[in-house]
Amino acid sequence: MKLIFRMALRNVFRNRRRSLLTGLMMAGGYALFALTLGMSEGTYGSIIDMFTRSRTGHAQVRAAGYLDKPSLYRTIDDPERAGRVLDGLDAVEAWAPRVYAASLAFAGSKTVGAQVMGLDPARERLATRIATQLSSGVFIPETPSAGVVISARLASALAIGIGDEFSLIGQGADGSIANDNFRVAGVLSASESAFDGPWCLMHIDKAREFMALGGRAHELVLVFTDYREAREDAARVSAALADPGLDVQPWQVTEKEFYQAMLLDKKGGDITNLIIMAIVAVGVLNTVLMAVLERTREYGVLKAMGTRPAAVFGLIMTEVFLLALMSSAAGALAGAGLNHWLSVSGIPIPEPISYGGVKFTHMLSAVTAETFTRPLATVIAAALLVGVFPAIKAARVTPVKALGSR
Amino acid sequence: MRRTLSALLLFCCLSPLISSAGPATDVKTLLDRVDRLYRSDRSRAAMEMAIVTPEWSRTLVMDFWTEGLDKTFIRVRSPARDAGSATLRKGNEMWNYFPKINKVMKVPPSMMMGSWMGSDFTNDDLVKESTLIDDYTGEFFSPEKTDPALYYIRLKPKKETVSLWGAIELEIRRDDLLPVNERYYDEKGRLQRTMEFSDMAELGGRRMPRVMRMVPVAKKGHVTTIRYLDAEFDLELPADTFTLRNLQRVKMR
Repeated sequence: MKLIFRMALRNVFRNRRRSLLTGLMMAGGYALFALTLGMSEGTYGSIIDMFTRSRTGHAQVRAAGYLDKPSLYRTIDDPERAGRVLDGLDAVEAWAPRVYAASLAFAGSKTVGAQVMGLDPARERLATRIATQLSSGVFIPETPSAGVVISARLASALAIGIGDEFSLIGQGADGSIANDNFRVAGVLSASESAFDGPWCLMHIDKAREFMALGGRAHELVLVFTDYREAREDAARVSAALADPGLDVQPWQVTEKEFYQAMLLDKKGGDITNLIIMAIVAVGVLNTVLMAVLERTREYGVLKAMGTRPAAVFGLIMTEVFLLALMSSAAGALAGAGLNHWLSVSGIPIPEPISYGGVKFTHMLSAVTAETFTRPLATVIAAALLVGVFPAIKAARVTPVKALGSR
Repeated sequence: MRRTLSALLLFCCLSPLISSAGPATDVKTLLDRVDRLYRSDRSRAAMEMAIVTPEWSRTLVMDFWTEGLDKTFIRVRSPARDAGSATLRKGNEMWNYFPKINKVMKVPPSMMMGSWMGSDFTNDDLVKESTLIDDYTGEFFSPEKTDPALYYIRLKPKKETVSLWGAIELEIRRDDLLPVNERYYDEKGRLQRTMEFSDMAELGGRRMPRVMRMVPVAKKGHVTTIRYLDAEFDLELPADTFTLRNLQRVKMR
């Protein structure tokens, strides 16, 4: 065994140029694959970050069942207590309370249905980027007032702008008719905001007064230190809150459609990866096959000297494995370097995409464990798999014929 | 649902007249008298409406003016959050007024089945005109457990009547002809809501049930109870009582 290993190592270094070519092929494949994975991880990462930070956060705390059947009455009754628990968790970077209600908006002779969202401007600034999604005016003041931010759709439906007054009528949680006058302080961007519908955003205390909600909240938006840990962190938060009346759901659950679209897109990316893997494998096959065929005479000599076919097979496989391992090391170095560089500077996009108030100007890469493990597994598996055929061929070689060949 | 206002009117204005009319032996005569007596009345009443739902409960105090069958004006006195809110109904039209935003809103047809002020009474209850004799056919019937002190009348909508109800059952006391119970059934004969009358007392010189309790069967945990605080009948009302202008008059009269 040891002998075979030493012979394989010697064979690899005996013909340096040939080994270098094969190794380059494998290392290049490795690096290419690592880069593809890094880019897709990085791009998804920035999209998820952009999406979650635009409004939904990485996870949300709500009264049990609210997600399936939202209701004015399904509230978190003690958001202060929940907030204290959240403040004690390292994984939670920021949180913000919200309330929601349906209402009817009036301005002049115009009437339109509007969604009311009450938020805490100071907390919201730390957790999400809603405050940056304005096209004009200012964000909701930090003390409760009649000043509200409305979506572009509501502004056009009511034909109102900054400084204009309008009225909202809705249902109070105590059964009363909620009704009050408001003034437009800011208007959200039509194209770069996460609020497409007719929305009216106001200070949470103003909204609570409007809906007679007391100190209750419908939702606590959570932002974690790492979005990739959203599922695990949501479970941690749920355990820490220890309240069966509350649901803690990561963005994958609350934004199911977005998540599924992303999974689908990732599946498409997997096909690209498969093709790259196949190209790498074919390249490896080609060089390994050539390397073995070139040395048919050598194997003939080995066989003539009494080497068993299994030993010849083992020798070639060890050779391929050693070469693959060394190439992978080189590929990993190159791939990681490339990914790291692209994660910092990125590839500029000619036409920047904008979403939720964030401009998406560069495609960024990412260095994750996956960008090492998957190419490694692919290159080694491909090398061993394609090495099998030439190895069998060599093991079966007839010494007389082999020695006669040139 | 359409008969609730009729019920309000019936029992604040007319019951005493019925009771003074002696025992009615024939349904048609009774219903006809009820309908006819509706027509010429003016009234003012103060009432308390207690609404209980699984999520909240509250009590509204309001003033209530009526003229004939087709004009109603309601103004909420308390709680403070709703004080000054007013409702005007004229014929088939209805408006709500909200003082905080100083806005008069016409109730669109699509909202007619919506609840009035969060109660188990719909806007429609306050608006619909209903004449028992024209819209329904009535007959005496005997339920399984018959109380000899009561008349039992079953009303069915006539073919041309647009009604939510497949049948309405009335229970009326034989001695003073005051109602004790109304049961509303849908077209499949399922009980939809019941209205119970209790606390028979003198109000505005007339004897009437002061308390009406509405229980919608389909909505678990919901009950609306109306209690008359005082009432006046056949008084003179200011000419502009039933006007849009009066809606915006926050001061109570």
